[in-house]
Amino acid sequence: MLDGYIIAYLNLDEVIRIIREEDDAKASLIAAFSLTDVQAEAILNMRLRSLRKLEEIELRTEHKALTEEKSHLEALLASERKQWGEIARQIGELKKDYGQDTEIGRRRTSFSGVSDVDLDEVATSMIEREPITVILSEKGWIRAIKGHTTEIDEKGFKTGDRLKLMVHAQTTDKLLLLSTGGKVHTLGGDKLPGGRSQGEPVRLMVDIEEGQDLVDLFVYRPGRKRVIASRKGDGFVVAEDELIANTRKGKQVLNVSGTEEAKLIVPVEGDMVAVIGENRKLLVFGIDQLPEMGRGKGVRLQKYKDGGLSDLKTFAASAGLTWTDSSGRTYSKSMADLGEWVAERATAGRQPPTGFPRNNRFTG
Amino acid sequence: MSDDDIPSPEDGAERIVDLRQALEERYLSYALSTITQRALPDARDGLKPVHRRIIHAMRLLRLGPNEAFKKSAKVVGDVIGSFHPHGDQSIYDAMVRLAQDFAMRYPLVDGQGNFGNIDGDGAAAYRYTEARMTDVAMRLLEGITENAVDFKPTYDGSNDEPVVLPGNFPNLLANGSQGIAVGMATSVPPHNVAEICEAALHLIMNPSATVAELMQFIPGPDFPTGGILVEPQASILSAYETGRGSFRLRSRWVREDKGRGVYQIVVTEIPYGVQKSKLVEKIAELLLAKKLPLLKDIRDESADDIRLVIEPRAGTVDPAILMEQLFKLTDLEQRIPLNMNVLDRGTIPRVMSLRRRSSPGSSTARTCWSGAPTTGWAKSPDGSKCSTATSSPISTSTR
Repeated sequence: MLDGYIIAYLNLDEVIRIIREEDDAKASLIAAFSLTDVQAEAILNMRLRSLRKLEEIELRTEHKALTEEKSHLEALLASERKQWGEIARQIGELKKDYGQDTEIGRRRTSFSGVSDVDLDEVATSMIEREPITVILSEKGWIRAIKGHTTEIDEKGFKTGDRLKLMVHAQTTDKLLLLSTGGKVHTLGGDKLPGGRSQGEPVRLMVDIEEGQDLVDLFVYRPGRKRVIASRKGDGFVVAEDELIANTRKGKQVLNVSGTEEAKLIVPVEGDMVAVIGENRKLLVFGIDQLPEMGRGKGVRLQKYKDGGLSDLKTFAASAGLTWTDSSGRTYSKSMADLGEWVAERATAGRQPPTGFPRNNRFTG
Repeated sequence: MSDDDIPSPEDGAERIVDLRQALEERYLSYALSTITQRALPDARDGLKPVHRRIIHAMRLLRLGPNEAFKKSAKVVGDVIGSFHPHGDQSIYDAMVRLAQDFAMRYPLVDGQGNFGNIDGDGAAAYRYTEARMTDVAMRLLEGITENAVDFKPTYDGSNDEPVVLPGNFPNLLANGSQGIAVGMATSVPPHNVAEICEAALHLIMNPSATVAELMQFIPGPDFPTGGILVEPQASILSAYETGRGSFRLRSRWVREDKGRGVYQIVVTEIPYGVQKSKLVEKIAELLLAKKLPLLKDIRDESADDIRLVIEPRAGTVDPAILMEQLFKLTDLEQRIPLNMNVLDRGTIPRVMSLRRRSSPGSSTARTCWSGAPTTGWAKSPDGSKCSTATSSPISTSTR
């Protein structure tokens, strides 16, 4: 179409003459300048105003620009590489308009690695630290009274039930519970029911198997060790850190089979071990003869013909062995006096010295 | 009700229909319709059908960013009448979300009036508010008049609507999308456009670039509400590679000393998708239930900015531990899921990795490329109907 306009301008006078004089101006135009129908139509519809030369220049430049663009577009359509280049250019423009230096383009979310805050500290700081006395009954009901007391209210137990043991602790402490099956369960001091009620059965808080009973309850202290022993007389040393469990199932520590039961879990307070059997034989040996394990059957502590283990105590050789009888009197024997009873572990032992409690326990 | 009361079908056409089969058929077609026509965005322009129709309607109303605002009711009415035969409130809610600068990283709608706020207050009714498009929405529409995309008839056949928007803007990755269909869902977080552009340019130069390489340009999502992403690099990488994962997003906080050893913590940015008022309520509840022993008080001092003041019980409390507690128990730390499940080519839902999402070019759109569109070409006598338009450089690819 623009070609037509340009031809019109070039031969303006002739075009005017044709339009003025000829009957069928359109056909004459087509014939005279070899125009197409569309071009001729466009020329005839042209305004007189557009006769100004300025328009011609504008038309020329427009024509040039469009021809350029057409060839550019055709090249683009032909070459895939050029298409990608065009896309890249547009992406570049978009990047400029929404770049990191603009208000809307600036990155708002920053990154950071995982923070290294001690989670245990966080957990304990969530609990208010208060002293409590944990009371465990014979039938397995547990509660925690505020404050450290030694007086307990008999009415706090169900009929037929009575106190088994009580422990002073803090709400932030963890309490470890040993069952006859050799499993150790963990209870949080803050999770125990209040002291005014009769408590809750421990079996609701942790999974203790059928037929198993509770043996002992104590406060967890990191770094401390204990001697765990079965009634049959097998045992070993275990670190309290190994006993902590996060689940209700607890941790199997002492492997017992058949009618065997875990009986004792005593803190290590020295380098000597004293054991007394149900047959009232006392044996003393060094704790280094016991292995330190996380889990297992253990080694034989004392040999018995009949019966099993009654009690176990650890003491420092320098301090000597002490025990209290039923009337509250304290006896103590230094290592020199204990010579008769010191032997290898797994031997039978001898009758205990005079004054030893009748009930074969180190605490009368 | 006896047999005589039941009307028999016309023409005596009776069928025994198995209930189970009938239920299956009908539920399947409902499920398919939610997947393809409702909840999942198109991978090419990142829009769900309702949003696309809103933008198309706004274009027909000539609501460009420099034009005057028009009543939202007008937009909603046009969308309902011509394009989207569903509820008016849902359409308006969708439009409101497009206008919120705390919900959209690059808002598509410029709203005038009450369009809701980060406290969870809703927008005003659509008879009160006014709206127009933003520059971003205009970029999405670029080239639509030059026959860049296919049009299909609307639900009643009286109009045409675009199948997908041509889009000179990587909307799917930039603004993200969340949706729940039947049997599948999608969650794409928003990202930073400048970074996406750099990654796209890199991908053009190196078509076989790996996701790890692309992550040099796109380190992770960029939320409109800011925050801090605490996720190890490796886990972000694996999320982008498989298209599924999650990010832990934390609030931004600073410690303000008040002198004499006393300090307070000020939270300036909260995680994406969290309502500030509910957050403060929940923290206050926990405080009253004595679950936060290190905390003394929480105050909301926000005005135009976000400012939550947290007072520790004593100046000796370690702020890091106090914040760890709060992050664990409240929405000050939020998990943002990633599930890049989008409609491939507008029809097939597929979980895509970052690479597929950002690679430019679509084989179907390759027939239309150009630079500046011109109207003169439609009447070009030389017959070459070279449809000129720009096509989305950021869309799915066949690579």
